[in-house]
Amino acid sequence: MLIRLSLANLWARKRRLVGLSLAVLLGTAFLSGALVLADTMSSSIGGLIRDSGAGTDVVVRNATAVTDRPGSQRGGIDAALVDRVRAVPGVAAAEPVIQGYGQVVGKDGKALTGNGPRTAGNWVPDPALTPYRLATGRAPAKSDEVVIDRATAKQGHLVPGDRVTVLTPGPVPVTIVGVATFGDEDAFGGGSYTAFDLEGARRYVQRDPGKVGTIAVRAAAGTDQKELAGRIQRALPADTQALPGKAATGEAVDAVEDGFLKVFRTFLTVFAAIALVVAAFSINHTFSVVAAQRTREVALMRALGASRGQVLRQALIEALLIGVVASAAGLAAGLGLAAGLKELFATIGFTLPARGLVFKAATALTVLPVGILVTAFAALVPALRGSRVAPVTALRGAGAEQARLPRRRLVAGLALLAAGLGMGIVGGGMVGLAVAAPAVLAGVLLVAPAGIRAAGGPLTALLPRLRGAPGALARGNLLRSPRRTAGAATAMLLGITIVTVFAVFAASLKEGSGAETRKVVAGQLVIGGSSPAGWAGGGHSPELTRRTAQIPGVETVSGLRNATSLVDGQSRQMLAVDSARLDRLFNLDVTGGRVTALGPAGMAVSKSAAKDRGWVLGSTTEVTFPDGARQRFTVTGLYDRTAIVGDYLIDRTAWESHADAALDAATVLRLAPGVATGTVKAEVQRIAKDYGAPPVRDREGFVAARAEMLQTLVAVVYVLLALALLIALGGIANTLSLAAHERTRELGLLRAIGAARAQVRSALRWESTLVAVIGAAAGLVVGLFLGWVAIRAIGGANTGAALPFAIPSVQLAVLVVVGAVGGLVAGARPAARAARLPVLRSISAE
Amino acid sequence: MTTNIDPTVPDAARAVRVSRVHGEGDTTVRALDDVTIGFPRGRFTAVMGPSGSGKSTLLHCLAGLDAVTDGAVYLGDTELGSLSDRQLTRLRRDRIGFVFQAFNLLPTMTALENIVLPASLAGRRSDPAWLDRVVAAVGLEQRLQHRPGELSGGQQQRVAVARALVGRPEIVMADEPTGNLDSRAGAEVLALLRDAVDELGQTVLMVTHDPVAAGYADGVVFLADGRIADYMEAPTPDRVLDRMKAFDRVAAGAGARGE
Ligand SMILES: Nc1ncnc2c1ncn2[C@@H]1O[C@H](COP(=O)(O)OP(=O)(O)O)[C@@H](O)[C@H]1O
Ligand SMILES: [Mg+2]
Repeated sequence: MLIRLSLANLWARKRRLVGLSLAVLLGTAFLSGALVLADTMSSSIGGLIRDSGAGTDVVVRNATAVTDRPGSQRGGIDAALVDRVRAVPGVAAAEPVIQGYGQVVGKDGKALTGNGPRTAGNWVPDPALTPYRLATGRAPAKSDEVVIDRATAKQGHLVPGDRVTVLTPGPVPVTIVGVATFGDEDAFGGGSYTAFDLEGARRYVQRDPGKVGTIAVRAAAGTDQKELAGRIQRALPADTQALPGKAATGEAVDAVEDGFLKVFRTFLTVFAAIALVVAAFSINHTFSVVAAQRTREVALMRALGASRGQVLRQALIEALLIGVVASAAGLAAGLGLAAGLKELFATIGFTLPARGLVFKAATALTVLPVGILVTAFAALVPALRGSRVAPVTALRGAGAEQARLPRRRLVAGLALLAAGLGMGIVGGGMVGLAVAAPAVLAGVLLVAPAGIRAAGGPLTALLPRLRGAPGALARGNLLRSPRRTAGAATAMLLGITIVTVFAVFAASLKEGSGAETRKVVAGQLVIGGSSPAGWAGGGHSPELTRRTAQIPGVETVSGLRNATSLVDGQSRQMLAVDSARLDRLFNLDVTGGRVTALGPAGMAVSKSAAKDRGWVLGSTTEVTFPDGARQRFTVTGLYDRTAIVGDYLIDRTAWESHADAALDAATVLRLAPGVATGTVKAEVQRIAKDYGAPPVRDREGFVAARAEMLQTLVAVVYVLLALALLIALGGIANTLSLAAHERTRELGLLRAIGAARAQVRSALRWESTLVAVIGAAAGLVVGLFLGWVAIRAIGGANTGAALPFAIPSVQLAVLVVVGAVGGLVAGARPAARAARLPVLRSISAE
Repeated sequence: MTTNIDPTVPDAARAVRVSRVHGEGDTTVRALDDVTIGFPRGRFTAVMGPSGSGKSTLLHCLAGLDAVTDGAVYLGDTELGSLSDRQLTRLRRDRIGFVFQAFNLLPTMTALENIVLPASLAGRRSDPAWLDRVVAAVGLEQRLQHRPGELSGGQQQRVAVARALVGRPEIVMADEPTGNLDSRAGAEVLALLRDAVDELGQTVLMVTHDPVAAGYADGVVFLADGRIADYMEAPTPDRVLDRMKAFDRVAAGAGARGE
C-alpha cells in the first residue's frame, strides 16, 4: 500500500521526479564511466600484449631483470644460442628477436615523436612469431631497408620508396620498403616500430654482432609449451632463461596491470569518489527542497492519521525507487561518458590505448549499490525532518520552511571551523591536514546559512540598484531561506574547493620544481630532456653529445643516461654521466666527499637515499647491470639536490659496457666564461639537425619546458575536476527549476502585474548566478587555506626543500568566472521555462 | 443582452461581442457567450453571478490576461487583441491595477517594495506625495517595512489595494478581493475601494459573489452561464440577494429539467 502510494506520489510530481533522478544520475554516471574506462584500457592493453605474443610458445631471454616496468628491456643474450635452441627436439622454429630504441625522423628533419616507446628491431619472417603484418611493400632484404608501422607512416606521410633517417640513436639513413600493422591496429598503443633486417638490427640496434635480444620459439605440433621450455632451459647457460609463451605474456600483462593501469585506475576512482561526494550533496539538497515543498502534503497525511513511521517509510521508499532507476540510468550514461572522456583525453594529447568499450558486471555491481546507498543516505535526513512535520501545519498553512536557524548548528559550526583553522595553522603536517580539511569543510557548511543571512544582505545590497526589479527579486529569493541557498551552493563550494586545492598544488609543484631545476643546473645549455616521451624512453645519440663538446667556447659537457639497475637487489634508477667535471654542470650541494671523477667504481648518492640505506662515505654496494654482470661500487660523494639528477650517479664508463642502448636522455653544456650563449646555441642546433633536431634550450627555456611536461597531466586532472563542477552546476540548475516550479504562483503574479518575460528570466538567472558565485567564492577561500596547509604538510613530510606556496591567480580567476558563468548557464533553462509560463494558469496554480 | 451602463460617460474598459471557449471537442465550455458591456470611468462596478458563470474569465479578458475566442476588448481606445505579449505586459503594468483573492504579494519583499513593484518593474520611481497619500489612505504607515508573512490577511489585501492604486491606473480590477477575509477586514478593503472612486476618481471593476460586497458598488452586472443576465443601479445587499435567489431558482429548475 505504501509502495503504491509512493509510486503514485512520484508519478504525480513528475517535475520533482526528474529533478531527483537527475541529481543521482549525474553522480553515478561518472563512477560508471570511470570504471568502464579503466576496464576498457585494461582489456585493450592486455589484448594487445596477448596478440603480440600469441604465436610464441617459448621465449628465451636474459635471466636478469633490472626493472619490471612494462616495455623496459633486459640485457642481450649470446647470438650463438639461436642455433642451440633450434637443435632442441620439439622446436619447429626459433628466431632471434632484437628490440631497442629507434626513432624515425620525418622528411622535415624533425623526429616523429608520440606518446609511447619508439622501438626498432629486426623483421621476423615467421608470422607466428611476430604480431606485425605487412600492409604494403615487402620485408627488408638489406641492412639499410626498413619496414615501419602504419601509424608512423601516416604521421610522417611516408610510403615505400621514401628515404628517411632512423635514430638508433645514431642517425642511420634507410629506405622504407614496407608498412606494417600490429595485428589490425596501426601501431602498438601510442608507440612506433621500425624493423631492419636481422643484419641491420644487429648492427644499428643491438650494436653487438655477437648478441641478440631474445629468441622466439615456435613449438612443433603437439608439443607442450612448458615441457618444451624445460627442455630448452637445459640446453642454455645459467644466465639465460626459457619461459613458456603464456607465462611471458602473463608477466607482461601483470606488469602493466600493476604499474600504469593501477595508477590510472586509482586516479579515476579518486575522481569518481570526488564526483560522487559532490553529487551526494547535490542529491541531499534536492531531497531537502522537495521535502520542504511537501511539508503541507505530509501534514495533511498526518492529519488524516498517517503515522510518523509511515510518512518516513514512504519517503524512503520513494528515495530507493529513485536510487534504483536513476543509478541504472547513470550506469548506462557512464558508457557514453567513457567514450566521451576517451575522445576528450585524446584531444588534449593523452591518447589512451583503448579499443571499443568494455562493460563488466563488476561495474554494475559497484555502481548500482553505491548509487542506491548514496541516494538513500542523502534522502535520510530530509525524510526524517519531513516526518517530524506537525499535523497542524496543514491547517495553519504555515510557510514551508522554518526561517529560524537553530543556534546549536551555528555554535557547533563555529567550533569546528575554529578547530579546523587552528589545526591547519598550528598543527601542520599530514595529521594537521587530515583534521583541518574535514573540520573546516563541515564548519563552513554548518555556518553557511547564518553567514548568508548576516552577510548576504549587505553584499547584495547594490544589486537592486544596479539591476532594478529583477535584481531585487533575485536578492529576495536568495535571502528568503538562507539554509536553502547555502544548500544549493554546497556542491559548488565543494567542487571549487577541490579544484582550488589542486590548482594551488599544481602551481606550487611547478614553481618548486622550476626553482629546483634552476638551482641544480649549472650549465647554460641543455639538449633534450623535456620531451613528453620522458616516460617513453626518448633521447638522442651520445654522438651528438660528443660533437657538441668540440664546439669552441664549450668548457665541459655531459650526457645524462638512464642506467636503471639493481642496487643491492632492488630496482633503482641510476644516471650515468661524464663525471670528470660534474661540479661545473650541476650545483649538487655536495655535503660530503666528491661527486667528480667517479671512475669505474665510484658512486655519488643523495643524502636522503644514503640515509635510507644507512650508507656513509666509503660504504660499498653491489650493482647488478641489465646484462647480468655484478659489480661493487663505493660511495664517494653525498649530495643534497636531487632535481633532474635523482639519487644515484655513476660514471658513463662504468655503465657503457653493460648497456645495449646508448641513449642520452639529455645533455648539459657548460660554456667558458665570456662566451655568448646564443652563438653556441645556434651551433649546437645546427649539429643537432643531424640527430632528429632534439630541442636545444638555455637554462630558463629548459625550466619552462620541464614545467610544460606537467601540463598534460594537469590538463587531464582539470578535465576530471571539471566534471565535478558540472555536477555541482547541474545541481544548481536542478534546484532552481524546482524552486521556480514551487514559485509558479509568484511568477504568475509578477507577470500579471506587469513584469516582462525578460525581467522574470533575468531575476532567476541572477539568482542562480549568485548561488554559484557564493559557492565559488567560499570554495576559493576554503581551497586556498587547505591548499596552503597541504603544501606545508608535503614540504614537512619530505625532508627535502619545502614547497613554495604558489597561488595560480590566473587559473583561480578563470575558475571563479567559470563558476559564475556556469551559474548563469545553469539558470538559463529554468529561467527561460519560468518566463514562458502562461500567466493565467500560473496565478491559479495550487 | 447588451448593456450600456451609462452612455454619457466614456468607458474605461469595454467588451464587444466577446466569447471565450475553453477546451476542444466534447468538453468545450463556453465561459463567455457573446458578451458586450462597457465600464464607465470613475465608477465602481461589481460583477456578480454564481460560481462558474464566467466572472473571472470576463475580468481576465478585460485585463489582457486571457485571449478572447471571439469579439474585441478595449482598454480606453486600445484594442487588446492586436497587442503583442510585450505590449500587453506593459499595459498591465502601466494602465491596470490588480487585486486578486489571495497570494497577492511577493513573500520576499516588504510591503513598501510590493507597493512600488510595478513602478520598479518599469524602472520608474513612484510619485512620493501620491505614494504617501495612498499609503495613508490604506492605513499602512506603520507596516511598510514588514514582509507579507508578518501581516494579517486584511493588511495584505490593503497592501495589494495600495499597489493597485499607486500607479494611478485607468482601471483597478479586483477578483473577489474579500473572498479570503473575515467580514470586518473585508469591509475595510471595500471601503478603501469605494474611497478610491469617490476621492481619487478611480475606476474600479470588482468580481464578487458576496451581496454585501456588491452593495459598495455604484452598479452591479449579473452574469449567468457566460451571458449578461441583468444590471442593477445603486445596489443594496438585500436587493442583490433577492436577485441572486432568483438565479438559484432558475438554476435549480434547470437542474430539475435534467440540463
Ligand atoms: N482553463 C480552463 N479550461 C477549461 N475550462 C475553464 C478554464 N477556465 C475556466 N473554465 C470554465 O469556464 C467557466 C467560467 O469560469 P470562471 O470565469 O472561473 O467562473 P467564475 O469566476 O464565475 O466562478 C467555468 O465553467 C469554468 O469551469
Ligand atoms: Mg472566479
